[in-house]
Amino acid sequence: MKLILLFFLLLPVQFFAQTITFVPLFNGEKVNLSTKIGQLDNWIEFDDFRFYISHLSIYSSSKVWKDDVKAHLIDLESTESLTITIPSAKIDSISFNIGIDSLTNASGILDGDLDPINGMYWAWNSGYINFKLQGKSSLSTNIDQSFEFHLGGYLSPFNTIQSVCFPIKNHEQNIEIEIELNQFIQQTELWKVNSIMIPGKEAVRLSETLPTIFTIK
Amino acid sequence: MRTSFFIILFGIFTFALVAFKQQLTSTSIDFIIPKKWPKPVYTFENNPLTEEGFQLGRKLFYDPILSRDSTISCASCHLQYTGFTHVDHTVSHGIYGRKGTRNSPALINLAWNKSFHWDGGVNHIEVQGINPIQHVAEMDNTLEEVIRSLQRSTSYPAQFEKVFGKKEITTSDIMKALTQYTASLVSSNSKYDQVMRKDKGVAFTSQEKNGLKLFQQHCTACHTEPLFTNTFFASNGLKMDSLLKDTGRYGITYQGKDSMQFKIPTLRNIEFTFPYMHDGRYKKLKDVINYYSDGIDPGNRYLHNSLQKPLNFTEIQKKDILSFLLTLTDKTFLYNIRFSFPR
Repeated sequence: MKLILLFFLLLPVQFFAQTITFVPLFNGEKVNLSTKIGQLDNWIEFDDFRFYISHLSIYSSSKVWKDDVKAHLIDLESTESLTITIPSAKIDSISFNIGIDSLTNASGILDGDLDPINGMYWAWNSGYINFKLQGKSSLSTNIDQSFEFHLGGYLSPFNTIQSVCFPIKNHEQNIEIEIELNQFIQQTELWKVNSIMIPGKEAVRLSETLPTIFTIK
Repeated sequence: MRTSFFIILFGIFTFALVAFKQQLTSTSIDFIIPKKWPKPVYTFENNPLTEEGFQLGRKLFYDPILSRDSTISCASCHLQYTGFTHVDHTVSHGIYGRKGTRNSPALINLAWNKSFHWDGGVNHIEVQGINPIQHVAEMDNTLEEVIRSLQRSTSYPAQFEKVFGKKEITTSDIMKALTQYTASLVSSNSKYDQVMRKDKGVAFTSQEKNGLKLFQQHCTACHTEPLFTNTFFASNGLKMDSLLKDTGRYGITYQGKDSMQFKIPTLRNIEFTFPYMHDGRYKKLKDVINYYSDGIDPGNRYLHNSLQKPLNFTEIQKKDILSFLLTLTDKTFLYNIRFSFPR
């Protein structure tokens, strides 16, 4: 009797949950923080990589499941943050935003993943950093070869939030979303621009490339 | 017999429950909107105003625990007696005497403001407090360190728990408590207010009356009654300081049209909030009036519409305006012990 009860209690966890996992890659290879990639004269290393996912929606035949969590901070430094649990379903497609919407940006102080303590908030120009990538590279013209990209800004005309939608082929499996960082680095033209720390034209241009670096096999 | 026993038992139980609950929950208080004033922007919607929350915010405001070396508090640059600004300092300084680039603004009627700072970079009162805590030239601290210090203190954890109902102190608790205090700093009892309310025995002198008339003719497009600011941005034609190179609102929006625009400050308690302007370049109120009257370069391309025609006040008119501005002083605000250092 007890066993049956236990079975039913565990059932939701075991069978009614699927996951979405983000996998940062560089030229198809998994990225680890603070690890050099490349050769002596042509290398790159990532020290910090995090971004926000918001308004996650799961579409399955006629039903739509909307995530009630305002935003997820995906941080390469914390393995568990890379995976989001969603209810199990025969998924046809998923959609989400990369970044934080303007309403949330102007909602005052928030908790959890949106706590400014997470280092993804600009206090002097209120608003969240949607996407943060920092590291070092032989391509950077900085004295210490560093680069830092803090992409954010929600005020028109420099709104940086991006939305993506993916059709899902393997309807009932866990979903892996790959993020090809080399594609982003190519867009930054690291040899010309190695730092963006404010909202504006450049932040918008680079943010618009983000949907192209997220893919599902 | 048995029934009455249960009734008594039930009574004792209910009483104990109520008494227990009273001890746990905080006392809610009303935010009073002065008569005929517009609706405030901040309504305490997700931050219910309570006596305990207000007192906690007040304590934090006056406590140097927020700064890296525990030397300065919010009140170091925002003194009550001068309308919560940094009197006598053109630009304010933080820990180790490091200097900022702007004149610390007065904290008056903040609940009616849509944005904060001279450039309006802060979009909500609840997130304003992060700036002075983190700024290198102000408190130069981190949110992590502030939380650690508060959690370690002997008095704060219990106070936070009483207000927010949980053991762990978070950024949002600190910011919400501070907001309960700063948003409550309402000044609405100056001579001007008393005259407008038709309080018994209060009347403008003829000089003040003339001043009000001139003020309403030339100044209220930006310094709109009753807040004496329309809460927007404008350029009053001041030339850029060659050292500070402050472009104002442009630094936030990166749009040419916002160049050299600064937030329009309230003129309430203006008698005591000297020095004046975003960089504190004018020490005396009469210097400010002289500037608006005769000092503006009409060729300045950023200049607000209302200032494009030189005002050229007569000396008598200048005195009239000055005497009117002095009626915006609200001593019950400047000396309200409820807002002062908690003893």
